[in-house]
Amino acid sequence: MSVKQDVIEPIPARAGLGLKPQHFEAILEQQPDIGWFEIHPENYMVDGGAAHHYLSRIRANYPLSMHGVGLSLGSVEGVCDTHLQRLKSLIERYEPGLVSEHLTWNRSEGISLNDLLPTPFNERAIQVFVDNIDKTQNLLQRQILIENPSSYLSVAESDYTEYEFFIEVVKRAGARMLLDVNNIYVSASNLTESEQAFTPDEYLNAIPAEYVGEIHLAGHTLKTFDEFDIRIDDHGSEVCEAVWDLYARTLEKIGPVPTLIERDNNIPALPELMIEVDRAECLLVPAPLDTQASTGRAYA
Amino acid sequence: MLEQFQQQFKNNLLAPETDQAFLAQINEISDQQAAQRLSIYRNNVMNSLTEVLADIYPTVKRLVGDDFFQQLARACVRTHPPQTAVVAHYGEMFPEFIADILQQQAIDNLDYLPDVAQLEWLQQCSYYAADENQLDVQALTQVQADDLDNLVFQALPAVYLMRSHWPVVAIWQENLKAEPQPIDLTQTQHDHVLICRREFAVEVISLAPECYDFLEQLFDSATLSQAMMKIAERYNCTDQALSEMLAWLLGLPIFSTYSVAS
Repeated sequence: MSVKQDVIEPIPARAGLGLKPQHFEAILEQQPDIGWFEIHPENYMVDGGAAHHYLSRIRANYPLSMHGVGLSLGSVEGVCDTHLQRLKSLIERYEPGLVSEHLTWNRSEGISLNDLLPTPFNERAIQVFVDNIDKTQNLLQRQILIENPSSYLSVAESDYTEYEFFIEVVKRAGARMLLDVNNIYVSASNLTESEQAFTPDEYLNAIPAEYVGEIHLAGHTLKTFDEFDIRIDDHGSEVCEAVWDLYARTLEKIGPVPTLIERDNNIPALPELMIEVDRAECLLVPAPLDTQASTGRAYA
Repeated sequence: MLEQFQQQFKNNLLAPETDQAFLAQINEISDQQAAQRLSIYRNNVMNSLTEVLADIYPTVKRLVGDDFFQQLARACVRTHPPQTAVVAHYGEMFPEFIADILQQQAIDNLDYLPDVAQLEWLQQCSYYAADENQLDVQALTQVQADDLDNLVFQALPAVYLMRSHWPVVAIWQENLKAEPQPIDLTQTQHDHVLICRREFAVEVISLAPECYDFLEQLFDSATLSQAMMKIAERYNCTDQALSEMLAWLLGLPIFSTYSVAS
């Protein structure tokens, strides 16, 4: 596939923040020094109103990344054309520097469930992802980034580890990677008893650095059941120290790439989130700034 | 088969309990553990979708209480799961679903609830409706005197009309208060409601019946003179009363453009 790649405004290799309606006014008034913002496009797939009003003003001042949750790239029945068209329209309107989606599915028999669901890691599932990503990249006429999942269970009939599957899908589909460092940590913790268990560093070391176009950092919570503990990727708290450490090792390995602080629940005031944004930025900036690494550059 | 796996996974998340046969599809050391892990996804889906409904329908939630609302919302999600990944488009069926449940369970003291829900849904629609400029009233002064009778108005996309056999606006407004007072439902108080949006704030306005009827005529492409004549006949309105009504309506964010019917 050959794709024309005209990125209007690339995402700089700086720390960015998930854009939340609670912060719209504060961002416009204070113009905080944040490298870029990221949105879930689904929240803007409406005709009009406040969301578009604020997004267009914030977009005028900051680079923007679009991180989808609803395309369901792992669905056997294929991606929903209506959804894909809506995404295309939003991309045309707001010209994001990066567009990403998940290595999960959430649509079956025409029903969309509001979560990111696990897939078996086998050849058939790889083919489904590759076909769906291919269709998406062709329609959008751009390369997209695929984010590694946070898993709570291991699906039967899996022949690969999560990272082997992730790498294979991204390579074959001609996509790039959005590496969620918290998800690596969460999945590694949650799947310790599975045949496909891995350590965070094993995962990280397998990732081909040149494929990574963005990093996500978020908080999770520990939930205790009778026989086991589960780390829930709820984006409702600060990034934990173990994930900050893993992030530092990630940067050592792959160099500086745009890094998002994600907070979707228990959303605090902007200054509190800026502490995490600044911390990520401090880890990013000592390395030479290389915005080229983050532009989602054209592929042959 | 991947297709069956996804269908069964989806069905299991929408069902209240896990189908034990499905647990073979999950690689965990015990069925109990597999079921508990699966329940994390089920809880995520059910909690987020019932929260979507709670955000759209806060008055319904307040009127029936948290527990009954949870039951209603969960049942609604299970019966009508979303067909779109855009949550802002989800929840339209809830008023009708409530009406069905009230009927099935022979609950007869909440007859007003579906209409209150409908009022909340229309506010949601108005909130997300397309942006268009409000009619510039000054532009009407440019209209030739002969053409005034033949004016046809276009409604803004954020404008909705709703009629109810219940005092839905009073019920809704009262429940915005910290300590709502009881509302007397024994007297017939039909409500005629206009929902519109000023900037990004949705407004709910209770209209006089003749004013509602007048707007309905205009939105149905009646010319200004046709609409005025009908209202004058039906309600014995004076010309002055009608002119005042029109002037008041023109001050609200209701109309986008006008044209002159030939």
